[in-house]
Amino acid sequence: MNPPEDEIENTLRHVPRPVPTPGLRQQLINQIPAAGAARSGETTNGRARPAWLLRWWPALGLGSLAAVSLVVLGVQQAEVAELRRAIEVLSQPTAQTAAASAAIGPSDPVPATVPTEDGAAELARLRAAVAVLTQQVATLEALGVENQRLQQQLANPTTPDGEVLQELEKAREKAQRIACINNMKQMGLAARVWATDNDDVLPPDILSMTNELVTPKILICPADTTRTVATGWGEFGAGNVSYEFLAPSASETEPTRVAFRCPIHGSVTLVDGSVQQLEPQSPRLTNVNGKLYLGAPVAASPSSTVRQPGAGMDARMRERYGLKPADVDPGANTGPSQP
Amino acid sequence: MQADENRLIERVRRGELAAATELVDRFYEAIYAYLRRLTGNDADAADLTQRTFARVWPAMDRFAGRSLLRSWLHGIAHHVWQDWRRSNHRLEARPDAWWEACRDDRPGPDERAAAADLACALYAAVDQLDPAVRETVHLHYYQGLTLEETADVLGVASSTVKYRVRNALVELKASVAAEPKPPQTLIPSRTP
Repeated sequence: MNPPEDEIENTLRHVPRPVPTPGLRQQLINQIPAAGAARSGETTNGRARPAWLLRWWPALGLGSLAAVSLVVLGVQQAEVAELRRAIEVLSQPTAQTAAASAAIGPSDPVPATVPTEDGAAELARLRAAVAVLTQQVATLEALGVENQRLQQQLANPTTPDGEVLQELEKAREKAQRIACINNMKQMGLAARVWATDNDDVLPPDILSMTNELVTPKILICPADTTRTVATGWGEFGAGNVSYEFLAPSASETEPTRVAFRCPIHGSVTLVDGSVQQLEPQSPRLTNVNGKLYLGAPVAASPSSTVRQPGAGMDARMRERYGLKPADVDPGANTGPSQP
Repeated sequence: MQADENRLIERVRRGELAAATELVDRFYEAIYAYLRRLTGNDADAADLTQRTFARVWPAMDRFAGRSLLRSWLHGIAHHVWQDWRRSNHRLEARPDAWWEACRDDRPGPDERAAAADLACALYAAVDQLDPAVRETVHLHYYQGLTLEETADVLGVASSTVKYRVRNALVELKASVAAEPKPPQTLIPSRTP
């Protein structure tokens, strides 16, 4: 039995439809919520929330938050302005002192001197203040030295040593290899998608699968500095692709055949879509009649799921598709298969 | 059809029992058939159908109409079935005694017409497909959903559905062929 695909599709579309159990329809109707509670069921104080609130509460919430933030900011700005005015007033002691002195006329009594017993306390207070100020001066001097050192560093930046440069170079190469493999994976996938619509045959050239490739950027290996990305498929040429397309119009029956190869990194994409990381000129590649393979060329192995038609699965199939023993022949059309 | 569905949805949202009944009548048989083929028995299929529609009513307000009602309902049924399957209701773990109880004593498929042989073999082969491909076959062929609707239900791209359909046809053709041809190596599809 080797049916064509359209017969298979037709048979699948006319699969028998299981009959619902008796009473199911009534059960479904019975579980329909009563009128008024058929909505989401959310209520507030026994009344349903309006639908517009359910839809717009995120926007309203964000708007309220923004408004509150603006109000708080305005209040803080006002307080800051008030404090600045107070600072300006307080930072004019001489003018106030002169005004205060001028306010003291000759008829005003002379302020009495500080008594002797407070002089000792004042002296102690002044000595403590001197100690604190001395400490602060020392801290300021240390900060000044540090500031000078940092300014010198900024003026003469040091270059990284050779070991650091080597590590950076390795990381860059690794990133380029990963990006290259990603490109090759996308090319393999594009070729397979194209083959799906074209009798399982790979495209004859790269330009045939531009729809599947989407962008020409993936055709340039990140390590290739001699080629540029095509601005569009209309301007695409040999100078805009780094990778070798080695299996044009190849059949998918040769899964280990090399479809794409990166001449810089040596990685290959096989006809089955997998990507293998190899070194350039890897001995794992074999050339047979001008075709490149990974290892020996093989065809796909037989599937273990091949079943003989009608091999004792009838009762199970009937049970799965809800067919009772007296049901119709599954080969006949039993009516429309769509709801 | 879209306008008719929109009117039905609005009536359901307003709480009209007749509209909800009409919606049940339109879709419950298809949903039941889908779940029946997946679960393998009447009781579980009926239970899952009820769970599906129990989720439909509260979610009706959130249905934005970006897809057809049919594919939206199938999407809910699909998730209900996946939840049921995860809670240890694995269809594959049937004991031998269960299959013995389902034995059919009538003449086997060899005595039937070639079309019946093909149908039997195909439906059995569908059960052996990869789960993601099998679900695609159920929705696209058995339930009659378009490629875009099937993609909506499964939450994948249309190109992925197309690829799975292609894989399914290749596998099914190889399974039912008299002389098994070497099947092509396919990229395994990711399990949703």
